Amino acid sequence: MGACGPEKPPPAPSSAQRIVSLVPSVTETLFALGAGDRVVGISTWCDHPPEALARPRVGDLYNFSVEGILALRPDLVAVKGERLHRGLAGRLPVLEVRDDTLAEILASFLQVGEAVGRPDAGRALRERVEADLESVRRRSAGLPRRRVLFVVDAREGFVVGGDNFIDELLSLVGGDNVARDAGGRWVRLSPEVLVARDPEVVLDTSGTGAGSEPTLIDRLGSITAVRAGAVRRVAETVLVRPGPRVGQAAERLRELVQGTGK
Amino acid sequence: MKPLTRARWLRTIAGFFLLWLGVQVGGALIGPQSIDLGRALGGATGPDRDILFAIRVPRDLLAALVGGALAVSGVVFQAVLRNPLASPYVLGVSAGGTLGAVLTIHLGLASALPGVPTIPAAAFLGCLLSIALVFAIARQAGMAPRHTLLLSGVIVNACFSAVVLFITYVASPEDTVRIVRWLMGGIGWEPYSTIAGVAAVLVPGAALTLRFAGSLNLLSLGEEGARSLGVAVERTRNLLFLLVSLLTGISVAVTGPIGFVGLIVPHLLRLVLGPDHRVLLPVAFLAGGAFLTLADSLARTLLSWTSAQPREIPVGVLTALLGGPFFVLLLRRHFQRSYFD
Repeated sequence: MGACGPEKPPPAPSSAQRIVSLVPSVTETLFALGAGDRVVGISTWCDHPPEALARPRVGDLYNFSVEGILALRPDLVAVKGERLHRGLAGRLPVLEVRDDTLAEILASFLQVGEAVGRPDAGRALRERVEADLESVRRRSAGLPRRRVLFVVDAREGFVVGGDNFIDELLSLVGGDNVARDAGGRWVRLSPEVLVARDPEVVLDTSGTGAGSEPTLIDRLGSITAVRAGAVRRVAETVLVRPGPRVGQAAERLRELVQGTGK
Repeated sequence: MKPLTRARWLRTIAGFFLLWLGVQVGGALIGPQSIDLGRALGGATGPDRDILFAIRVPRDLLAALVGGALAVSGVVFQAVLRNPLASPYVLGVSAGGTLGAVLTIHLGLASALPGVPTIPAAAFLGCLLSIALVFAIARQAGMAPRHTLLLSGVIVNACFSAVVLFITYVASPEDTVRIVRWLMGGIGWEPYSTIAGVAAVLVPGAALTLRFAGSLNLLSLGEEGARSLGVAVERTRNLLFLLVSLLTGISVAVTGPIGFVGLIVPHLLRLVLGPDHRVLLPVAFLAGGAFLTLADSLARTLLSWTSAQPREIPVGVLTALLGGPFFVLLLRRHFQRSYFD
């Protein structure tokens, strides 16, 4: 953890009291750890838990107001990746979290727990989420494997690739991600390759919701998912959100992949 | 130069039509996935059939239409403005279209009306707005219209681009991806109904420019000369600008701004075929379409030959990479031939 750049941010206090979270998953983790009352600012995209939504919003990782953040007098700013240091380096201590894979997500609970002086709560959260995932894994063990495509942005053709917690969750519930080897966490898949890999279930979280305009996939009648009516448009952020709710996401994915949910 | 006879005109057009047809057939045969032609053309639904008829053919047809329209627009703009750097985007058309599209994406209106393609609609409105603005500005100024049009086009372009940059900056990462992708231009996978609609405007529109071929020949010699030979210079120029701006606007609306086709193809054809617009205009439609179809077919295929990870190259990147060196080669070979002046 920590900055590798030339400018080192000031050290974080052993227990942060005023936290600005620019990462939706970290906001959820902070509240799950019982440190919600110390969150003084959230990002544009934070939408959970409901208690968090009254906090002032200061932008997101790629576009935030430095003055807006400073005005909240935080003693810790939660970020993801290195991007933020350009604006805040040297001014504020930064908690840099990685949560692209399940292992990173579980580790982030400990990391955030340490930062707010609640390492025990961090460990407890980690164990709880591990138990959630284990429960889904156990109940999915005998289920048939299905070829799945998880679309993030139908218009741009962005889908979930490999090395990604959504890919791992799919795998947990009996789904084989057809874009796993497509060369990235989030990839643009050629529609010809999509036809050749023939997914049995397509999950589309483009955010357009049900009843939106038909996309290219709907016109590809040779795809099993299209013939079987298994193209499911689900605009639920929990499915694409790393953090304490990945167990719930797995549960929901299990319904969607195995066809017991809508 | 040999005089243009009806037979030679027909032979040239037929030759380029065959080239166009060859590229269309060839383009449909290549892609990241190899297909079995027998199964694709046989009646039953299957992956081969889907890849050929739901993915490649509509995409190739759209590339042919847009490439043709952009090349014809380029020929007209270069002739009327008598400026070799003029392209279909010179009058700010693409900047207006881009602003319309980007605003729609940013305001989250991309699927606001079910069944209505709001992004192309907004892009087209943006194109119309920028054309109107450019004409209004050009009319205010007192210089020779062909200079003021060019200048006001540049100005409108700059202003609209600034707004687009600002929106891109404040947009969410997700929208930024979409916006940047739109700025690159690209041939999407439109349903046949959209392609038919686009064809219903672009083909007659491009054909209509042929009526002005004679006037264009005279105009490219100079306005004074053209006027003394009986061309209604202002009227012809304004009509032509409006017509090709519409062609460009519709192209930009469905594919985003694809660079280089409208600049390079007209120049290539002038070098090879000479300056007669009766030949240039129809050939530009065929050659522009063939060029963009070829570029797009390669763009979707090339990376699948070199790596196991099937990705595509934005077609605008390839048009510039293919067109640039080819143009330099031709320019060297035809160096002596009188070109523009």
